[in-house]
Amino acid sequence: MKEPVFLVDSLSAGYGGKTVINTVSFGVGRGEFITLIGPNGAGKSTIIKAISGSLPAYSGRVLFLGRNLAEFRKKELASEMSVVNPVNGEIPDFSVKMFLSFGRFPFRKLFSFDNMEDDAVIGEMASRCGIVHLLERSIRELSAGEFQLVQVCRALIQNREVLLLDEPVSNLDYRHMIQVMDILSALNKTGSTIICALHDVNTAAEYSSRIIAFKNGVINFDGNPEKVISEEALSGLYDSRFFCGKNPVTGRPSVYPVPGSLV
Amino acid sequence: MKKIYIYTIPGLLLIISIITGLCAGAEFINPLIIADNIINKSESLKMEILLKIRFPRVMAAAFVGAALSVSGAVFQSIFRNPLADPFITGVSGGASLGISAAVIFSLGPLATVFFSFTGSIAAIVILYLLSYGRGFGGGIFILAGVALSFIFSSSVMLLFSVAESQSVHKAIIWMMGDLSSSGDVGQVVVSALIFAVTLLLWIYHRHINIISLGRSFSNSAGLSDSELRIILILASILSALSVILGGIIPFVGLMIPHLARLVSGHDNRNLIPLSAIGGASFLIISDAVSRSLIFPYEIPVGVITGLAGGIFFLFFVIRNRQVY
Repeated sequence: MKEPVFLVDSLSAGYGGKTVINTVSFGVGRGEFITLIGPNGAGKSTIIKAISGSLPAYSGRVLFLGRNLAEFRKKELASEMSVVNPVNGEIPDFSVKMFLSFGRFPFRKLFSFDNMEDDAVIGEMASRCGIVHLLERSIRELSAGEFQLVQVCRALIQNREVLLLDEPVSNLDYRHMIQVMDILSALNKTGSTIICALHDVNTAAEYSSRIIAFKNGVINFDGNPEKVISEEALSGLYDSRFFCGKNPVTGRPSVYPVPGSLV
Repeated sequence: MKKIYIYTIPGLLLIISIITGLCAGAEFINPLIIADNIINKSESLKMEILLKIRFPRVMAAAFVGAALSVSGAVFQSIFRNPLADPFITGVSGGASLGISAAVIFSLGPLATVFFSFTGSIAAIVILYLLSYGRGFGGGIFILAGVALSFIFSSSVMLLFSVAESQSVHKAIIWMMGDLSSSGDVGQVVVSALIFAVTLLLWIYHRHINIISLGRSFSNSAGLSDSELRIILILASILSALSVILGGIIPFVGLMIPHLARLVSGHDNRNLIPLSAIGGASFLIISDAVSRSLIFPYEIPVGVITGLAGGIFFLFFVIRNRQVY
């Protein structure tokens, strides 16, 4: 493996004493585009939380850039990786521009005002994500797709080396899904390491260089999409039958769940 | 600062409130006479009333109102709940238990301040521990806050029932909301502290904005737990300071931030100063009304804010009833 970004070693974690992921181990090399798939409650989001430092481990450890994750100060960690989580609950009435400026938070001192450098980064990333026309809008008024683009853009403003995303395209239309995933793909081509929890196996197979499938808190299978995506593997993962083929345009694996085939 | 014009109307409102507060009362003083007396530096009985009685009182109302509203605004942002305020979180209750104990045991002013800080911080620490890991969302902290308020108020009653009646009377007057300050050193010190803590919270406005998007967001944005704790403790101290200076004055901290948000939006950079201005104006006016409504009696100012705030609260709940 190339220089490891993450080394996850027998990690167990969960909420309120209930274990969700159970002694999971894997490594992540620099420049990988990993998608995490699996049924609801399998532990995809929990893994993202545990390796982004927002959920303490019950046992085991996570090494990030060779150091124990728990040793990082929050601002230090935020300047080395960025995370896109679903924002739940009441969304405050902030402008998109202001929301994007939160991406500069780890780099700012307590006493500081908006500066030119911040504005330059925000402008550059906004045009890269195609959201310049949204800058003056309120994040409350955005559609789910627009808000997700804004979230990804904020993450890019914070850090472009390592990106963790928890279901960034789950409730988006195809246009916005492709827009978000293409941004991640382009970033990955310039060397970014991306770990992304997804529901749709097709999206995962289309974009990622490696799929890690979780079931009941443990790794079910792990590897290159072309090697690991098979009818047997998927029916084992989702307890339902699948038919596998290829996307005629990209040549990537594509899968078709079969209705009425729950095992 | 951009959008400076949003301060024009609230600023004017504050000036009008101060003038009203100085003029209204048992004896109405014509503002033109005040101006005339200031210009000619004449000394009259009216000026005496104005400087020795009304001015300290208007200042007390201003600082108490500002402290309540700013801590309410900060609690609402951090707990992401429109109903959060110093009372629902139990923070004021903790402070008043501390102060009641200090008054009843006839401890000195320093002990009073210390006890009230301890009570309010104890409340916020309990809330923090209960809602930590749940992202501060949901109703848990409202339930916990209400429970805390009851525990604190029952403890105050317990203290009163075993204490000497003279000290109880003193404590009860103060608990009904008492702005009749004497302009002594204590008032100046507490007011200066209120100003300092408000300024500190304003400096943290960007942090508070980030926390208002939820704990998982603020975590990944690089905001540490210790920064969150500092902000919570500052907001609790601010509530305690308001209780020290003005006693129990309900609903200001709940209501004013909602009105301020109509002008400033949710950005705490403007919300904190506007809440301060709005809270100061509202409490000065409420106090003026309480002094002049049923002459020659003086209604406790908490009755006025409780009535106005309670009616506002009802409308707020009715307007948002699909949420509950």
